[in-house]
Amino acid sequence: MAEPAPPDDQAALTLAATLLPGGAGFPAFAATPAGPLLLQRLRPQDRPPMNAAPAIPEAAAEIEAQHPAAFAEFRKQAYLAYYEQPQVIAAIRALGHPYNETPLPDGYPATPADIFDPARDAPRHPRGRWIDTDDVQKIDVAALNLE
Amino acid sequence: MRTPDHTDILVIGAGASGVVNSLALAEAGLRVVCLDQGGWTDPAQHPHHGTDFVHRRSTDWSPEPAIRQGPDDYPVQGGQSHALMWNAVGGSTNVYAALWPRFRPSDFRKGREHGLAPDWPIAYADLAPFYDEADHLVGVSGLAGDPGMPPRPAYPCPPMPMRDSGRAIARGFDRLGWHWWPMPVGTISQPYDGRAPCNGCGNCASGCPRGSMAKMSVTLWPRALAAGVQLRPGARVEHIETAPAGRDNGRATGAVYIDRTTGTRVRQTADIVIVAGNGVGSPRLLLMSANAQHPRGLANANDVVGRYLMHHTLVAAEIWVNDPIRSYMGNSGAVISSQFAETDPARGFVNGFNFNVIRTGPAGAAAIGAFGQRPAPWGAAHHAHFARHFGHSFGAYAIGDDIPQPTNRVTLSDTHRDSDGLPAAHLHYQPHENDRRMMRFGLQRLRDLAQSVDAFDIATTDYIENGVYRTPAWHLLGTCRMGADPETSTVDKWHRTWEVPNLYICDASSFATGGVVNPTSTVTALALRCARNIAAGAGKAPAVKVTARHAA
Repeated sequence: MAEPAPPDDQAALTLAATLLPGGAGFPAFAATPAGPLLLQRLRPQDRPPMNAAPAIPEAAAEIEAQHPAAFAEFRKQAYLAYYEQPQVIAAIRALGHPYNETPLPDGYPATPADIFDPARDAPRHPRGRWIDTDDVQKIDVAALNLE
Repeated sequence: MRTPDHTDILVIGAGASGVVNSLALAEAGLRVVCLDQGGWTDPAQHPHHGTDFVHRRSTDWSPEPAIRQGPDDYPVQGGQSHALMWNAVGGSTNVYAALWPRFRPSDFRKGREHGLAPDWPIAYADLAPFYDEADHLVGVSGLAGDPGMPPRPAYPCPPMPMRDSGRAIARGFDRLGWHWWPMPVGTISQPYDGRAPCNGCGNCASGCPRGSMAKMSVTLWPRALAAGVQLRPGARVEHIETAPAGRDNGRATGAVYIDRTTGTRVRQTADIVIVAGNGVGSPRLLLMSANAQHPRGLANANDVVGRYLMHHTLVAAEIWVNDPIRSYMGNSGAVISSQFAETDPARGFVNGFNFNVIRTGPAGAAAIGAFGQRPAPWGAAHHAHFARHFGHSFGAYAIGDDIPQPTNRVTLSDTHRDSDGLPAAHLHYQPHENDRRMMRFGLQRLRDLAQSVDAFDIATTDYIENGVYRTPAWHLLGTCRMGADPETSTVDKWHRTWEVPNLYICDASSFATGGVVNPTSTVTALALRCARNIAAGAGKAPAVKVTARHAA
């Protein structure tokens, strides 16, 4: 049986669960293995002070208002830990995205429809101009009042 | 102190300029030693194979040494720039996106145009053949025929795949009647020079371990080593040495470096020294090399070294469209627009900017709002927001030509030192009023772009943190600038310092102005030109008398 998390860690996990409650086909933070990863990554300054575990959005909003910098970093770490999880990647794929959990080795090789086809993709507009080095003209900048 | 054999050429810094200089000079038959304080960045070290690849971009793979604090880094102090760089063989090409546009011909004459910046001592035509040659050396993909740029030969590789994302962006520019063109990139779209083409992994932001992108440690360095270059990683240069007063015309005699594997000091002598340490590292080294003959630092009697730091003006927007454009797929560089690149004083400022339009990347980056600096909301709304937004966005930078100011500068820190006890760099950077106007104008045009693609959402950023403009400063430019006047520049048109006749500075610190483009294509072209000139027998002319008349 796993040891219960220390109070600070428990509060952090509760806050993460409040930030990412699940829905729209996505699992709740608490239903994924993201918690230990989050705790491992949090630096002391990434943990906003919390008097109690913020299990409701109002409590989390209060922490955000009181400690915006620490809250922002905590949120970033919670999001990153969450979006690495296989369950979350499966939810992204269920939306129709053929999303890879890692960039390599597979990548996203271009299909024939992706390839640059000059007949289809080359710009047809005549827009654009350039001034040759020797043709640069003096501009009066006094009227710009830049100083 | 150990003293290896004398060499013809000593190159300090093994990044884009260092490798091109080293390779070209070795292939010309010269003996070349290249030093770099960093080691090799093994392709297996890149984050691309791990599920934590987004997280690592803000930890050990951050391009910002102040965050990364790697053993090969030196501290960069100052609260006004997020100075980004990578200290290793290959330099910052280990982590860049390799966008490869060129300077515009007018960029070389900003002195004539408005006088708030100097002219370069060269013209676009002087550099064009070296741009062409460097494109083939590096492996660049793109489409010739851009009416917004001078004619040029075909690119070595065809443009990168357009994908739905590139087409959606192009439609927006067409609706506005604005110029656009496929982004030229230092990434290969087809097999080239024994390298595998890009497989569209979508993580260009952390470099390219495949070598599809021009990561110089896996592309050009093997060729340079085969040509006979002696590369010494882990060699942190302490100072450049010069001949005593009255002897040998004040020439540089070589450099003393710390072998970081043994901690011992090594004196490497050379006929010619080329400094290629980037726009922070190069002036730092010149300033650290102060001696009795050069009390202000090498090549710095006029007090120009370290000054005129430029980063480019930068504002950006993440723009979300209804079409599922799968913007996590493909090379980051999509489209470039030079619609506003030339000066039009009717806008209320001089100089101009380009749009670099890019693909925005993976899920974690989308959630934290990495591009537009606006995280997805938390709580019950989060998941529906993510589902609606992910894969629907592109990012657009307005990247502009900032005014070089003497007060924007690199100096040596009085308080911080690197792990070998050498002074840290300190940066001061504040945008000019002209730059601020350009950024405000650029933000408005980004909103126009969003409207043109019927965006359902937009997040803009001006990179102002607590009232301070803190640009993500990839581009470290202008701090040892090139010029025609010894009083107001550090190097001549061949990168040779005015004061020390066999000392060359060749990297983005040599830029007189920044242009409106990512600098690496110009760095490599300048490096080839510099090397060719040295190989032709330069470096033997006498020094030029420089005074402190210009001191700001």
